[in-house]
Amino acid sequence: MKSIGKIGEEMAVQFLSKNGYNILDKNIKAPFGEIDIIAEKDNCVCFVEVKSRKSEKYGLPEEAITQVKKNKIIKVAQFYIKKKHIKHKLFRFDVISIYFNKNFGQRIRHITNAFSQ
Amino acid sequence: MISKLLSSALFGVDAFVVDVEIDVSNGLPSFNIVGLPDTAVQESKERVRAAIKNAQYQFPMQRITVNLAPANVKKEGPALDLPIAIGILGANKQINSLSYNKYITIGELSLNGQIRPVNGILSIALMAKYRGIKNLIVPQGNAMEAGIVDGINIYPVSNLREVVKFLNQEIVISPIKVDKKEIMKSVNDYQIDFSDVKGQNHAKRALEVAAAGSHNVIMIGPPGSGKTMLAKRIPTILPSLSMDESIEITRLYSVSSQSSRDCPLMTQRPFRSPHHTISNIGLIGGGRIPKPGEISMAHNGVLFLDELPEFNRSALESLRQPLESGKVTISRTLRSVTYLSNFMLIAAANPCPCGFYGDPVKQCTCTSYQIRKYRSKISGPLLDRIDIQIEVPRLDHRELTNRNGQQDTSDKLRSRVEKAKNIQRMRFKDISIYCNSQMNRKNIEKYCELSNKGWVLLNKAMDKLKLSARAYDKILKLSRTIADLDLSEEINISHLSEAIQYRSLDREDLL
Repeated sequence: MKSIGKIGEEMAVQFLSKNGYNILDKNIKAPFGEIDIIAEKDNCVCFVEVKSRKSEKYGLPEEAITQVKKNKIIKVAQFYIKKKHIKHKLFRFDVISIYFNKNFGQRIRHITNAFSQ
Repeated sequence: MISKLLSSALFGVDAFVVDVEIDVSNGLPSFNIVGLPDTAVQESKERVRAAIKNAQYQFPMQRITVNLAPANVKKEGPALDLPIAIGILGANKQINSLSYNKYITIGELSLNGQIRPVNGILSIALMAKYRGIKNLIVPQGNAMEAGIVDGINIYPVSNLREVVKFLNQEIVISPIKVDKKEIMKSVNDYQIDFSDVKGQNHAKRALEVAAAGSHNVIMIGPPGSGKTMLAKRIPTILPSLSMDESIEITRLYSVSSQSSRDCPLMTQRPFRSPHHTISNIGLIGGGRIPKPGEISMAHNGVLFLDELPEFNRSALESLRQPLESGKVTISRTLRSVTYLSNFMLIAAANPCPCGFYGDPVKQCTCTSYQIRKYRSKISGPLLDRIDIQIEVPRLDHRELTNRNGQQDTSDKLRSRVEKAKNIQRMRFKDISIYCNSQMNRKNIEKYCELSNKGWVLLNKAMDKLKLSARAYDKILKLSRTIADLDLSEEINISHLSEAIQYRSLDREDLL
């Protein structure tokens, strides 16, 4: 059985493609962290973190992104920019939160510019 | 893209030019401010971000670096919000032409893009004029205050959109015009009057002299004799302010955010009466970044210290220097600032702890030790600096109920004081002092010439009362003021002898 996180990431990819984003990479791993999705639209590269939750018992999915997590994502992003030689482009950090609910299906929320360095 | 514009920050009461440089370049989105910003400036990031967004402009999600030059001086306060926002929009090409040294831009942003008034705008406007920068963009709420400085254009703005449109030359803002004469028209609308005080003619006369020449006064008397009542009425007879004096006061009140927004200039002399529990720093000024204290807030006005011996001894002693020099230099690790503090000290005290020492009716219950201890709180050096020392004795109840006695009204007293003040203004028009009490040794030699008989009297008094050299000068200055009140060119024997008798504490064992 697929984990909630994996399902959420797949839904996020679909969501981004549908909204005109070009998916560059998925699950980029570096020794110090990971980025779920890297997508591009209008010459702006977006580093997307996906958070999925089944219940709000433990807070909203987007609340689960702490400062430590943000710093990790920023580090991996820098690593990625260097590796791909895309310094001249614009960058952005986004969060996609997915909330599954048995009765009402799911709710996807895309937060652009969720945080910065 | 880089953009550059001028703004200003405060150092004590003085302003200095700050170059705001903003670089917006590609890279991971970040927003950094460098150049010794304090917390309020660091926090401007959030205000600028929200204000730009809520004014329907685009905040660039790029790498933003703000530099505030000169980078070695600490910048305080939120006044740099507006220039930072404008600079970001300029670097991002949302403002077409941003000319570097045409405008000084000042203002605090609110989250919705409104511009809030800031402190010390008068100092900034004066500095701009001095530096030859002709145009200022200031918050609407400060415009009147800045408008007092003539020769520069003040553009009042109330929100970020307005500023952007103005700089893009889409709208025209006309520079504000302030009618200084209209503001300076002094309003003497007091609820209290000197004629409320029955009797005590001796004290009233002394206060009249003090008001005319801005001399220091100490009033000593039993409780209930009217010392506080008299002091409270001093503002009603103080001479009107000149433009220069008014600007000096307004600058001080403006940097300490005590100036009122509706009345841009301080048109009345300040009257400060701090409670006797005041700390040294509260009185003199200070803090990590030195702020003006009560003595500076009383600049060109009155500092009234009721119950003088109750004050903290070290606070009183710290008055000694500013009383002499008319300014106070406060040094802290971060910086040292000089504030003007040319005030007229009015003090009131009881002769002993129970208050009835020397009273003809009521018996004093203090022991001699208590009295000595009480009096030792006011030191000789401090008393020496007080020109007029008067007794305010118990008032006979028959005088209190007397309805026929004519009392001088405040209006009458003020017109006399005003005349004496005008003589002083003419006398000192070429030197930068305003009143007799500010004369230095040289001025005294020039303006306080006595007749031969006068010198003889003064020498006699010096011998008899064992006066200090300072008291000698003080007597000469005081007799000059008394002569001015008499509209007399020369200082007569009568003027001199009145001045000498005001040194009652040197004369007898009153305190």
